[in-house]
Amino acid sequence: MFEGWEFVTAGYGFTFLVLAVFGYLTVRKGKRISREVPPSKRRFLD
Amino acid sequence: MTELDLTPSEPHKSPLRSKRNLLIGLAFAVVAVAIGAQAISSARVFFLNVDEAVAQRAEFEGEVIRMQGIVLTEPSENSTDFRFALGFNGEQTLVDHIGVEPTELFSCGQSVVVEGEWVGNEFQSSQVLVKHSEEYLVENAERVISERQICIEPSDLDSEITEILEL
Amino acid sequence: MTATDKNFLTTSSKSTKVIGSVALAAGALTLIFGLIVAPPHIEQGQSARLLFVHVPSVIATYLSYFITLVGSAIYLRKKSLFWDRVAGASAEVGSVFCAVLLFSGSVWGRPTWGTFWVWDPRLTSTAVMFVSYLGYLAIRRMDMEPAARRRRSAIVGILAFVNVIIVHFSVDWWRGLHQSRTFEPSDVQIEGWYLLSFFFGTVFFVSTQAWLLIHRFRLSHLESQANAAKLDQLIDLRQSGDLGSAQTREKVV
Repeated sequence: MFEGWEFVTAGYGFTFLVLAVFGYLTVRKGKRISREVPPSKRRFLD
Repeated sequence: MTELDLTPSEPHKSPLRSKRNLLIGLAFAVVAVAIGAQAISSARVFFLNVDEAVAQRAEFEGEVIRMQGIVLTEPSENSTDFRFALGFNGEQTLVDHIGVEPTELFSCGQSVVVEGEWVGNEFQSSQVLVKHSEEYLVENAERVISERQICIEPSDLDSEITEILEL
Repeated sequence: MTATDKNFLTTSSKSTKVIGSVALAAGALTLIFGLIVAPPHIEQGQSARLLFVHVPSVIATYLSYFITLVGSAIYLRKKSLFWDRVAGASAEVGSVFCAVLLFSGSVWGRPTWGTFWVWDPRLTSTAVMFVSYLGYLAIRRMDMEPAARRRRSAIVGILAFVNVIIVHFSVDWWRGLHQSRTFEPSDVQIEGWYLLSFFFGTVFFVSTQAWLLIHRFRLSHLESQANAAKLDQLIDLRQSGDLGSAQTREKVV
């Protein structure tokens, strides 16, 4: 029977890796940049 | 110097940034043109069903087209190239494929798209792509022999095709 | 530093933590059900498992670009910075999902169709959609007067959505290789385990999308506040008599 695990692994691997890295970089940059902003201006929904 | 320039605009408008803008713009223009050109050249390849392709054979002689149909026979085994009958809407034709072997989904009853050109009454294909259905059915013992995997009877094929395929 | 101050030293909050937990749980369930519990496909074998990431990535991409459309339209009407940032953040997130969609589709195409890529109407229009939103993001980073840049990107953010509609209907409008839509409301051609795995995949993608959108939105807010803070600092320096020597300027910027 037709297999194809290597393609499944590549697809799932890429998906989870890209989303995790993008999320991690976003959070890390947010932590770094928030230190440069005065506390009164850190609120998000103004 | 007591004068203050408090203009907040353009804090760092350097030639470097404008150059970057230009480069980004250029890069997108190149990619867009490349994709557009591919899309147009690909759209110019006619996409015909087997019956249409057979009817317009003379018209498309020597021109690369895509032809879509249902696989009617197993591929012939006695030659290095991949030969099979393709049909649609009551028409059938012989496809002679030289190139990358189709995937394992290739079987009787499957829809495939072949790209190539007419050489006489034969369609010489350089690419066979297997369309797959949008049905998601799991493997199941009772379903192994599904209707779609049954090839048509040799008696239902054109005699010319049966001769070449030696069925 | 008070507790409130500390809370604002990150783009996460209680709500993103809840959404993030949902995403992690759904992601784990997608892996368990999609890769282990669901049986192989009758014709495609294992490769059909890509359905559980490919189709949800389409949903997340459409949804993200739709939010960009809405944000752009509201920005043009109300000139609100909030919606401008929503539009930008959503296009960033959408483009990540679009990359996932293109990649997962490509590795699915090879074992089934026989090619990683073909210039089929659905694939071509998707590539154009991806590039057009990258172009939108490039415009948002261009060096021009901020209000003009916001207006122009909003216009592009609206126009680019035409492409999303073309992508969606391309399988009906033109002949091609790509299969048509599996999930027509009236006629679901998908079986039990596959439907469940697909459901988890969709929850995973949509919750991840919401989580990323909130974080990216907050990040873009922080970035503009940080720039404003830098400018304030420069002005203060000038007023305090240090007339912005190259060294101090460099320190701030």
